[in-house]
Amino acid sequence: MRILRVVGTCLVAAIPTLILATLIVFMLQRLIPGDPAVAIAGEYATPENLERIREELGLNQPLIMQYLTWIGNAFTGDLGTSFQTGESITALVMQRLPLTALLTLMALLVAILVGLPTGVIAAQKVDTAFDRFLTTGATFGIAIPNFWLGMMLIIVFALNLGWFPGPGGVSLQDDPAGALRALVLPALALGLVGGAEICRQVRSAMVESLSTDYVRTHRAKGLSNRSIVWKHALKNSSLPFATIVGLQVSRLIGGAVVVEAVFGLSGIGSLAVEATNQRDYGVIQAVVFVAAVIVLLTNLIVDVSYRLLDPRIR
Amino acid sequence: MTFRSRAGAVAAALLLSVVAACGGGGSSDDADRTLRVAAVSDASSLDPIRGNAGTDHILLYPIYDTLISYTEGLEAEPGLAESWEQPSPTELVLKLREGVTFHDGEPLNAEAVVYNFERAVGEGSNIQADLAAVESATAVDEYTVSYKLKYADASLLLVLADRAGMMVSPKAAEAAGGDLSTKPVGAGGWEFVEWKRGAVIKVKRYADYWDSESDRVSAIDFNIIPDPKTRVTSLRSGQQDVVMDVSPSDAESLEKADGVELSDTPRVNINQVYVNTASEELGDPRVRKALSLAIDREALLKSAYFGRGSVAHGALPNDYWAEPPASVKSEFDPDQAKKLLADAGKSDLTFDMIANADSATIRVAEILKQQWADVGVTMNIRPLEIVQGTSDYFNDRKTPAYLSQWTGRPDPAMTYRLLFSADGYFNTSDKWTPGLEEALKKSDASTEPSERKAGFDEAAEAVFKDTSFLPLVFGNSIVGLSDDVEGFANNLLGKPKFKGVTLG
Repeated sequence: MRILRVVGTCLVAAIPTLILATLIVFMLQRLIPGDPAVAIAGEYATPENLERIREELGLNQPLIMQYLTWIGNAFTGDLGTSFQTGESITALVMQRLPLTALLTLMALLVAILVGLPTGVIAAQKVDTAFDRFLTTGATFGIAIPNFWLGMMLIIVFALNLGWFPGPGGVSLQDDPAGALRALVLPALALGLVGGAEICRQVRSAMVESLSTDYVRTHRAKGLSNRSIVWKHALKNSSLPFATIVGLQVSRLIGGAVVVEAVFGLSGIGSLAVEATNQRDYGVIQAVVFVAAVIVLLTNLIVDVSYRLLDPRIR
Repeated sequence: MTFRSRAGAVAAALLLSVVAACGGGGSSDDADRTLRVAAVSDASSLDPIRGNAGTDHILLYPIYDTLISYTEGLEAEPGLAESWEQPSPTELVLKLREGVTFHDGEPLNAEAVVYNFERAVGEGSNIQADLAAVESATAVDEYTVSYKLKYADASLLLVLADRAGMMVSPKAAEAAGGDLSTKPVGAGGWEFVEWKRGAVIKVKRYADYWDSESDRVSAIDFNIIPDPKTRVTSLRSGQQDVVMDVSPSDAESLEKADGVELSDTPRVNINQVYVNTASEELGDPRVRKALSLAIDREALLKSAYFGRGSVAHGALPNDYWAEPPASVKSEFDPDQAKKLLADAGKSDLTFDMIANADSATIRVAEILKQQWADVGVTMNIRPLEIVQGTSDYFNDRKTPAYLSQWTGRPDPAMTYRLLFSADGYFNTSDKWTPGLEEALKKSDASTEPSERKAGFDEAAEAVFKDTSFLPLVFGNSIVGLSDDVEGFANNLLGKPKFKGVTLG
């Protein structure tokens, strides 16, 4: 019951954030220089074609009216039609979202699988050579751009070793097993950086937990090291862990834009890039809307998990 | 703990190899498998009259056969029309092939052709300008169509090898409310199967195709991969059979790689500096000539295009039936350039040039900046993303110069008109290049290349004399092919058709 109330409160609090986010994007994208009519007419631009296209797009309405119409429709699930193709944007986003969702999930898994154990191990060996090796590695990990890491992974594991397929030609709908396999390298490229960050955060949280009085008490009464670290100390470090994992989700969605380009994946990241190049305002707006919803939901889950993990939080 | 971490590492390695091993399916050796083509960008539309990008053509040709076709050297040859004649310079009569059907089983006859003409000049069409010279099209009999022209325009023949000649099924067009963007029905060698936006366009062999003798693969998947490096690695890792538009900087490493070949052929696509001949800075023809003389095109070709292309003297390349005459030659002569600038009183010329903000174009802009600095000219590069660049230059005319490309058109007159006529959208001066209008008229009397050549020679000379633009380099069309691909042939437009391609 308490959880339900929490969820409800968080959801209500999320709505203004969502509206604000879409409003900002709506105004910002109008600041992107370049006329959408020019993008749409392309090589066949003539003064007559440009005039006709501007008329068709209805860009002559007041901005605030355009926005109100859009937001009204968006909350009923209608994200409008694409300038460029005249198709339903909802259908367009739904077709490309699953790939990005799967990629982000796999990357998050990579990040946690890499970050959590290394962080815990490093915390137990504070200030040893091994700890320094891990933290330096993590610092490098955070600094490595994921597109570069992606290209290196392709060269080593796809081109030279041939363990994984190279970029391009992935279809989740036609060949789910093949797609899963093709997503391993992109998930590594996207997730390893997040893993490095999780490692650092978990390490410092664990160092703190391990130096508390109750841990000393546990040791004094003869509890095994394994039980102290994995059961007691880790549980008390779980709040920062939940926070950093929540933050990673938004990072990963942002990073997907770049990683999808490197691996030739057609998810919503690459959709955002195409739409920006084409000045397809409706599609940009929809991608941001969807991303904002995902981030807000993640925050909600993190908030709820705080309350589950730590009974002191009401 | 040591044991534990080691166990973790082993587990991770195991997991990786299991994932690597499952799925397995690379390319099969089946010769009748699907041809996988990596395309640069998604179709802007699959309706020929609604699209807007030159990159669409390779996606459209398999679905739509054109009335007229063209040879690798861009001369007209029979397509859906098996012959044509020109009773007068203002009339073109096409004789259609008999027994051709659209993918929906509808017959392709004169009536269908007339329907397509009316559609192309009607509402919602992007290509009305291509057919501006045509007064009317009429069906003379079941298989004969006559086009009546308002004025002589010999480019009509090759216009019919472009979008305007791609025949759609009238019945399907009516059923789709006039917009075939997502439900294309043509009379090409392959019929449409599926389009996943931004991901893939799939077509399969059309069983009742008129040219049943021709080699056609059973199906084609056009995978959309915008990043050039990703396209290349995709080919090298065996994910693709054909990759379009390999960048010159990647070509050499691809040539050396195993299992892949390179098709590196000339095309009409030109890298050029558009100049506004009505601008204050570049309004004097002597100044424009000086800028042209200050460019060392050989050096540019070598350093910016890795030697893959040819130096451009005019708007059209050599080894093309409409090539410029020998008198049109872009020399490199900095001393003469300085002299001309001094004569024009512009020795300290300063101007802005927009350049598309991709690394290859900016490299060219920087070389130009240096070469012009050598003759005392200061050029400021204004790097802009392509849509903004086009907008700022062609619409708002914010700078006197723009470094970009011209992708070319099937007919040479189309290029000259769009770039240098008073109402050409790509001409920011709104004035004809002196002498060009008369020259083009001479090229319009006949559709025979040999008879049109003299007019085009004059046109090239007029543009050269006025230096209405600064031609730089014709970049080759570089296509990567896996060793399985046979029979691939590119053309001067750099828009290959896949008829005749087989998988060995």
